[in-house]
Amino acid sequence: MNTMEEQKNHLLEELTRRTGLFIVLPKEQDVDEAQIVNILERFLEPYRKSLDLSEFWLSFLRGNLSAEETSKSINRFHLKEATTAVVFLLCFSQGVSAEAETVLGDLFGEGSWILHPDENHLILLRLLRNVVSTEKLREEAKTLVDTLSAEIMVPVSVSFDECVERLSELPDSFKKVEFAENCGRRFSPGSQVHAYHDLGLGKLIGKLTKEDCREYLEDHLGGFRFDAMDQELSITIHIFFEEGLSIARTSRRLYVHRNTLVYRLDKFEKLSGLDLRRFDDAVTARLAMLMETYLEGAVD
Amino acid sequence: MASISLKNICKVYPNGFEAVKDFNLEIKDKEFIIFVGPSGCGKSTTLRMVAGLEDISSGDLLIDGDRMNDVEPKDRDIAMVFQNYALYPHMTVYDNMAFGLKLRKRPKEEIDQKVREAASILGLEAMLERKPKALSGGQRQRVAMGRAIVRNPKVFLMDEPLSNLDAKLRVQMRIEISKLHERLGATIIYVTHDQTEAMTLGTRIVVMKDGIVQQIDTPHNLYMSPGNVFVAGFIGSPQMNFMDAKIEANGDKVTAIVGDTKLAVPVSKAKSLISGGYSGKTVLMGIRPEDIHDSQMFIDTSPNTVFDAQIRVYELLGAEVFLYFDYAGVQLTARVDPRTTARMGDKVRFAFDMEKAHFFDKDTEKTIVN
Repeated sequence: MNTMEEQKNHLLEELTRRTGLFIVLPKEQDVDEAQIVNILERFLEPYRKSLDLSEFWLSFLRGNLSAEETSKSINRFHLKEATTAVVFLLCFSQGVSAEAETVLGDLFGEGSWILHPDENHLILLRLLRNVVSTEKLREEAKTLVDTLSAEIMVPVSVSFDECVERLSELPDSFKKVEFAENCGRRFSPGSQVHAYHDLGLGKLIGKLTKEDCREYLEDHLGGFRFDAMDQELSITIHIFFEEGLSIARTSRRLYVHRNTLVYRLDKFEKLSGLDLRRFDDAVTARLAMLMETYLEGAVD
Repeated sequence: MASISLKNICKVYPNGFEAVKDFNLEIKDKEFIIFVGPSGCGKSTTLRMVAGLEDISSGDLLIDGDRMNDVEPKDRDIAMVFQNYALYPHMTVYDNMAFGLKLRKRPKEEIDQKVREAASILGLEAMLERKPKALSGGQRQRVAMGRAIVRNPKVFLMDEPLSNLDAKLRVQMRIEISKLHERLGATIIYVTHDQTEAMTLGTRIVVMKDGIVQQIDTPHNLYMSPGNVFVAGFIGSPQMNFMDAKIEANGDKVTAIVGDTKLAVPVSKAKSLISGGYSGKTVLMGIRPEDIHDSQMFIDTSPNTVFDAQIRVYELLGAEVFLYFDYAGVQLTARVDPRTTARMGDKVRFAFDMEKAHFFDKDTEKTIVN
């Protein structure tokens, strides 16, 4: 059974969560704790019938609230439209653990909310005093990955967008963060940090419909599929792109004679109809590769 | 403590990118192994596979003979230290170090004993009640180390732990980590892109590039006997000088022609060049900056390796001077005695120490002879 003081503290925390109000009670000798608990319970009763602050943030970020509901909640939680904020989305491939929430809770205090949208994700919403540069945010995202990896040894990736300066911009920003996670996971699977502004070509491909992608692949590659290539050819093509279509640099990096590389590029041309030494064909192939990767992870 | 085996380890991502290719390494108990290489070479991915934070696509990972591929990271008995560590701002140093053990629900007495032991090893006893705000960069880094030490793991994995520190602090912490290895007697795998860190800390170094292990050896052997052009260029600062050299053999005497200069190749190296069929061919010659001399005494004793060049840049570093000049169409660097009279714009006579020259195949970039 909790002591009266523990009950009081628990209710004070709930009060902050549900109303945004932070109350400090004077420490006096002869305070009737039971009476305070009673007052707090009565005060909280109407608020329990509506969203608490964490629930509000989650619904708000997901765009599930009407303009009227949002406005009411903003007033109720004493929030301001002119607020600087940033959203980090943490993806735990093996599921969110209680330890992860504890670590985040202890790292970020007042002004931060840890939201639990589903079994594989946590959202870290931070209200900031000033706008923080993308570079700083990237460092913060890396710190989240490193700290969680070191403390609880779980694979985690973190996605983020730039800071917003108005509360009403947060739902759009959150959509971008979700998009960054989705694209980053597919196009940069080796990376643990995905920034919306770093997605490059992936950002364009990710915004196409699956039908658009299938049509493009059909138009330019017919029945050819990149994932049907043997591994040697697949690596060669990847490195040829990484080395900016340079025969000399690619052959050096692969430790093969340039004639061997030319033979492999000819082989690719026979299979796909695309000569990667030609700029237009190289662009077509690069886009097609990304679309194929995108379609592999897409759900119909 | 622990021995670690990595057998034919590969990492292939779903998009077909091969991050690590056929990685093989036997790490003995208490070894301090360094993975070094440029960004994107696969060193951190390999470390993350050892930790279990990244799946192994193929191959076997064994710790003390037990296969670990499918063992959960937290059950591998390892601890990690990263570059971007965060301390809990509202907790004391003691609580920061104790936090991981509290999460694992270890008994209070055990936590207290381990935190105090780690604090003593790291010289943090007097700071246990301080908050992170009141600590210097080096002290914070030590607390981050402390969080790993309290776990008393079989293996420490460190991923660029000093990269966020300034140059002076990095040198200090490098020494501390070296001492820590001695005191803990632990097996450590340490990832860095900094070859100086690799050379000063490691008992053995794994040099990686593009997901492929280039060479595994002691710091001394990597420096003296690099296995290919990449290792020769990556290890050593300033880096090794490279130039094209045409090999001419006359009996057992071999000459390397660089620009207009005919350099006599020592007999020991000449044999390998002849037997490798390089006579009449152009190879890549490598020479370290400290093996290019401007002292009269060396020039007098090496008349067959002398050349003249005009100094483009003179850099005095206190205990040594770097001279930069162009020769045979490439920019070379010489590391000479600070008492040198050479200055920018001077025409200076140099001599190569051909006993220390390295020769590489131009096509394969592999070493012919060191």
